[in-house]
Amino acid sequence: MGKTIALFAICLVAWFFYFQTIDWFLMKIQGLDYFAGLR
Amino acid sequence: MATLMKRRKLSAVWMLGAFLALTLTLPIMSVSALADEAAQPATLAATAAPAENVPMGKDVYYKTMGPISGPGWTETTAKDYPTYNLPFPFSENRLLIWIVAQQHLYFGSFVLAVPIFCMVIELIGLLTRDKVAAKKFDHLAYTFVKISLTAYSVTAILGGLLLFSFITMYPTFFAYLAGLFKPVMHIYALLFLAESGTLYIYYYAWDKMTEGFAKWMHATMGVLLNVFGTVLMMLANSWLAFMMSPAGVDEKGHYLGNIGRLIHTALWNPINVHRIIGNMVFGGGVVGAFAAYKFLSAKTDEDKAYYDWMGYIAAFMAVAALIPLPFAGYWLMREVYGFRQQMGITLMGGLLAWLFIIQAVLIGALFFAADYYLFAGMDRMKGAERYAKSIKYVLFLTTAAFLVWLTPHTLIITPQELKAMGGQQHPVVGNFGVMSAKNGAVNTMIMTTIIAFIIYQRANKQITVKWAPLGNAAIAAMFTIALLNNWWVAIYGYYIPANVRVGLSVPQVVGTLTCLFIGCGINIAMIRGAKDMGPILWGKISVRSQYALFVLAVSFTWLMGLMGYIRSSVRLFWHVMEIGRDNSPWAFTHTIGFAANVMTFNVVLYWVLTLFVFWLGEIGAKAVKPAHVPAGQPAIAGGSK
Repeated sequence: MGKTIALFAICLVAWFFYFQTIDWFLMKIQGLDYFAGLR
Repeated sequence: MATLMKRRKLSAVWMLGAFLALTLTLPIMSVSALADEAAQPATLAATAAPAENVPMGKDVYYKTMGPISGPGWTETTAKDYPTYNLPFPFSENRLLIWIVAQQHLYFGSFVLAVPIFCMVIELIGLLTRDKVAAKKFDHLAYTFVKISLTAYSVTAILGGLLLFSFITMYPTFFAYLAGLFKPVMHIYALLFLAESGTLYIYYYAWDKMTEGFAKWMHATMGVLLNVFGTVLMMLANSWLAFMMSPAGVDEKGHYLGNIGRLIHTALWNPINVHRIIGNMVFGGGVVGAFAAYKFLSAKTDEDKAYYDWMGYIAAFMAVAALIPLPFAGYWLMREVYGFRQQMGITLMGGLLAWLFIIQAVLIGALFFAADYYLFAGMDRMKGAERYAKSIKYVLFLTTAAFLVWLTPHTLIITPQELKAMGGQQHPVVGNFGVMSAKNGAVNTMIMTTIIAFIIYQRANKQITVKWAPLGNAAIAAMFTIALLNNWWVAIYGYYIPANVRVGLSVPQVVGTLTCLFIGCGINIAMIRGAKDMGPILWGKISVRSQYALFVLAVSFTWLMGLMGYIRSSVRLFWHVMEIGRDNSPWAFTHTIGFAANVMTFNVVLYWVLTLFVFWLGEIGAKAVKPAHVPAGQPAIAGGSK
C-alpha cells in the first residue's frame, strides 16, 4: 500500500510538471504569455 | 488449382493496371482542364486586345490583381426565384432545397463514411494472423459495404433531384455558380463515375478476390474508393465554402482566371476536415443503429452475438471519430472569426447562438449514450464487477461537465425574473455561459469517456505485467492532473485577456489528447499478456444498451442537420457573402422554432428512407445467414479475446 501511494505521488508530481510545461510551451509558440494573468 | 491461382493473379494485375490508369487519368484530365481555364484569359488578351486593355479586378480575399475572365454577379429580383405557388411554408423555394440538400447530404455522408470503415476493417482482417478472426473481420467489412450499396443509389438520385431543384428554382444563382465552377463540376461528375465503378467492382469482386495478391488488390481498391470519395466531397465543399468566404473573384463577383483560388477559400480546408470526421461519426452511428436493429430482431444467440459485435465496432469507430470532432469544429470557428468577426458573433453570440445550446444538449446526450453503452457492455465480461463501483464517479463528472456545457450565457426569462436577478445573466450560473467554462466542460466529458473506455478494455483482464503498480499509478495520476489542469486553465481563462484565453484552448486539447494516446497506450501495454477472467460473451448484453446505439445515431443525424443549418444560415441575406445578395421574397432568417421543426422533419424523413434501405438489404439477404461468431470474438483496439 505504501509503495502504491509513493508511486502515485511521484507520478502526480511528474505529470504536474509535464502538463504545466506543455501549457507554457504551447502558449509560447502561439506568441502568448502563459503567466499573463499572474503578473 | 495452380491454373486457377495463376488466372486470379493475372486478373488482379490487370485490374490493378486498370485502376492505376483510371486514377492517373483523372488528375491529368483535371490538371489540363484547369490549365486551359487559367490560360484562357491570357490567350484572349493576346488575340483580342493588347495586354494593357484587359480589364483587371482585385481578388476580394487574396487581394491580388487578376484579369476579369467571366461575368460578374447580376442583382436578382423576385422573378429570379420561380415558385410552384404552394401554400406556406412550401411557397419558399429554400425550404424545398433545404430538405432535398439535407437528405442528399445525409446519404452522401453515409456512403462516404462506410467505405472508410470497410477499408480499415478489411486491412485489419488482412493483417490479423489468426485466420478465424481475419475471416470474421473480412465478413464484417463485406456486411458494411453491402449496407451502403443501396444507399449509394439513393444518394445519386437525391443529387440529381438537388441539381434539378437548383436549376428550376434558383436559375440565376445556379448559372452564376456553374459558370465559375464549370471545370470543377465536370471533374466532379467524372469522379462520381470513377467512384461508382470502383464501389461496384469492390463489392461484386469481394468473393472472387479472397486470397494472397488478389486480396491485397481488393484492399487497394478500398483505398482508391476512399480517395475518389474524399476528393469528390472536397470539390463539392469548395462550392459552399465559396458561398461563405468567397475568393478568386473581384467585389462584383467577376472570375479572375485562377480556379485554384476559387476552390481554396478561407473556409475550404476547415470544412473539409470537419466534414470528413463528421461523416465518419455519422456513418458509424448509422451502421451501429443497423446492428442494434438486427440484434433486437435476431432469433438466435448466434445472430445476437454477431450483431452485438458489429454494433460494438461501429460504435467504437463512431466515438473514436467523435473525440477529435470538437477540435475540428474549433478550428472551423476560429477560421470563421478570422474571415469575418461578425460572422463568428452571429453564430456564437448573436442570432444563431441559441442553436449552439441545442447542439450542446445533443453532444452531451452523445457522450452519455457512449459511456452508457460501454458500461452496459461490461455485462458481457466476467470480472467487470471489480470496476462497477468506479462507474458512479465517472458519471458524476460527466453530468457536472454536461450541466456546465449546456448552461446558456443569458436566459430567456419574464420581466419579473429579470428584475429579481438584476439582469439577463444569472449571477452564479451565468458564469458558465462563457467559452472558458465550455472548453473545460467539453474536455472533461471527453476525458471521462476515455476513462470509461480504459475501464472497458481491462474489464475482464487480470493484469500480469510486473510493472502493473507503476502503470496503474501513471494512468491514475495522469487523469487526475490532466483534469485538474483542464479546470485550472478554464478558471484561469476568466482572469486574462481574450486573446490569451483563446490560446489556452490549445493546451487544453493537447492535455485531452495526451490522456487519449498515452493513457490508452499504457493500458494496452498493460493488458498484453494479461489473463482472461472469461471470454467476452457477445450477445449477452441488455436490450437497453441497443437503444443507446439508436440514441447515438439519431443524435448524430440531428446534430448534422442543426450544424449544417447554422453554417449555411450565417450568410443571412447573401447567396455569396458580400457579393451576391439574396433578393428572394424569403430572404430572412426563420425563427429557431421553425428551423428546429424542419430539422426534425429531415431527421424523421432520413430515418424512414434508411429503414427502407435496410429493408431492401434484408430482402436479398434472407437466405444468407451471418458467419458463425464464437464467444471469443476478436475486438478492435485492445479489446478482449
